[in-house]
Amino acid sequence: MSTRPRTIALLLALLAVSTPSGATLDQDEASVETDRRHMNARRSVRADASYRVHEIRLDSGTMVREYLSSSGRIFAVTWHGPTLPDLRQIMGEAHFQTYVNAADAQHVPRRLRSLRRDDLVVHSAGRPRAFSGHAYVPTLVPPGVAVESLR
Amino acid sequence: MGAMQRCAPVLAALALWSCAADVQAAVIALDTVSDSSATATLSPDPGDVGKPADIWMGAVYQGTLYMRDGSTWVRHAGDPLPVAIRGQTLAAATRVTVVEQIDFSGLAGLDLYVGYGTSEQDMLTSPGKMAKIYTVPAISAVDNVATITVDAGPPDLVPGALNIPFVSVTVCSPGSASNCQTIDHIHVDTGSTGLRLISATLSPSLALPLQKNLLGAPLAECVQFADATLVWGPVRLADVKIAGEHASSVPVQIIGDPAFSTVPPACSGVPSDTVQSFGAKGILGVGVFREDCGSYCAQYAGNTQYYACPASGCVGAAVPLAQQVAHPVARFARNNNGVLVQLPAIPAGGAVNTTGSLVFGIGTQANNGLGAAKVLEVDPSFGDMTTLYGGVAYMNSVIDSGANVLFLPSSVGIPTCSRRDLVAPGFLCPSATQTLSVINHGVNGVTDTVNFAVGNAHTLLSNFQMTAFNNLAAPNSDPYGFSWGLPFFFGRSVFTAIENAPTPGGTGPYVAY
Repeated sequence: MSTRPRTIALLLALLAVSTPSGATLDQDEASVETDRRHMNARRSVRADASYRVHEIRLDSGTMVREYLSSSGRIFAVTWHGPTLPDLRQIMGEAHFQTYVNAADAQHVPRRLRSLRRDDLVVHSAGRPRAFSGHAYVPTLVPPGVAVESLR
Repeated sequence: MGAMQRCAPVLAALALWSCAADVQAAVIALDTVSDSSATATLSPDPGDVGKPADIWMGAVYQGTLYMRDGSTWVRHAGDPLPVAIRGQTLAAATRVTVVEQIDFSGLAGLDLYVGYGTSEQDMLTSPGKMAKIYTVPAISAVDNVATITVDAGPPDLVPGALNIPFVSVTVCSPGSASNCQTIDHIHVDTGSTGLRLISATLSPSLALPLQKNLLGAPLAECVQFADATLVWGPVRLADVKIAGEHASSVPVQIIGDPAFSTVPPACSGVPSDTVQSFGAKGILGVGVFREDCGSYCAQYAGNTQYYACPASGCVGAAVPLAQQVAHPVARFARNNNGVLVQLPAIPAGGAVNTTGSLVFGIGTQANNGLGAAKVLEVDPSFGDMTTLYGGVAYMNSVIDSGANVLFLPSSVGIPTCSRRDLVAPGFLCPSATQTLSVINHGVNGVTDTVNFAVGNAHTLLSNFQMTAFNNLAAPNSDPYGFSWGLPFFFGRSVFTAIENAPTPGGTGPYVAY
């Protein structure tokens, strides 16, 4: 008798987990939770004078950090660890497409792709079991934050 | 004739053929042999069975006779001959140890002799009582060297390859000696693990079997690279042959396999499944790890790398280590503890192409000894080490033939080429060649100073014929690491030891050069 509602609830839960519902970089704090669920990961928060950091630790050990300015916008994401996070998810579809399609990106086969534009900077490098990178929107970076050294 | 006369009364019924064939004479033959031991079996004349005799053992090497005297070997110094065993009562089959705990496998051409008799004269003159039992063979030819070519890559690749080391690899249907295909232009990568082949380069007749899980579902893999490309395709089993080395039923990945055309949504990135987009016909990962993913993928179904693909579609799967895409060299029967990459020195202006060697094994053959190389152990999880520069420790540093440039942190202060530089966008462009000195530092504390040069990438790459450069660099996105890509390998012998593999330089993982 209770089988059907349970099944529906389960389906809804699966949908909630498996449907990426949008971007992170350039988005608000709520999208951090979307990313966390998407990546099935643990999350913690710490604060600095000019920004807050949400840390999302993947099962693989990869650490993803999402940096929020005082206005509540995510201005940077960084990653470091043995697996790549879902870059499409943490950068957001639009930024991701800009990144992978940019003709002016620097590309080293299988090891590096970086893009430096006024509205988007992405560096991704590494090899299997050791990746690192960051993506940020320069115009959103709070004054005084050395964004290139965030990790 | 004496032997026949003696045997005839004993076995009268069989005398016609058995004695005619003279099988009743004493027979002495090799029983077992290894690199450091040999045993023989004496089948004496039936008339000698049950009687005591002395046993002699001799070895002739390069014209000199050596005799076993009791338990030791001595150089022959005149009669009487030293005796190995005195007063042995002979059984119908008497087994004796001729050599023990002496490695004589390298003494090619050495002859071993064994004899018995009641006297030296009896042993030397009676038929069958003395025989040569073994000759040490010439060392079997070991072919553990594959030629590395650094060139423009597979035909029609546009733009041509730059600083990519290639080898040829032969894959066979498991167990078949004839259903094989040799594929050229496979990228040699000491920064990853496993053989991956572009499906379009493979003959359909190879029909490599699918690697399946316990439920019979085929396994497939999504490998994401740092440049946002991905390779997707099934894990299949192949016998892998490179030079004279061979590994059976190795899990390999087939990229762009038409039977696995749907890339799972979580496998995000830009598919790279053709020779043109991949820049090679495949990649041979010969890094420090035995499996491409390791225990994480064995533990978590949500690893986003391995999938089980029943007819209903692919779902994330935990995959045991033994089924993961594996280091082919670690599966060789010999020379399986690592690899040596040797590339010649090239001019500062680059080379049109060059060739070197991918040598299998570390300290297992005359051609792969560590010599004076320094052994720098690497982190067992990440495979990295530390580079010290300007008093700062860059802890995410690696030696990696799969990177075609040197990646340097921005702190070295060398300007990048103009963003609008069509020849070398994003590379490093010092106004004049700049030399730097750093110290590589293994996790075992071993250090080595590296002096290297960074050339102007625009100038270097303007010479379009060149495919090999020893001074090409780019900024690293990781501010905490140097990456010693292929430019580092020119003029060096670089060893990469596999995790948990014993070598004369210690147990892997390590790099040595």
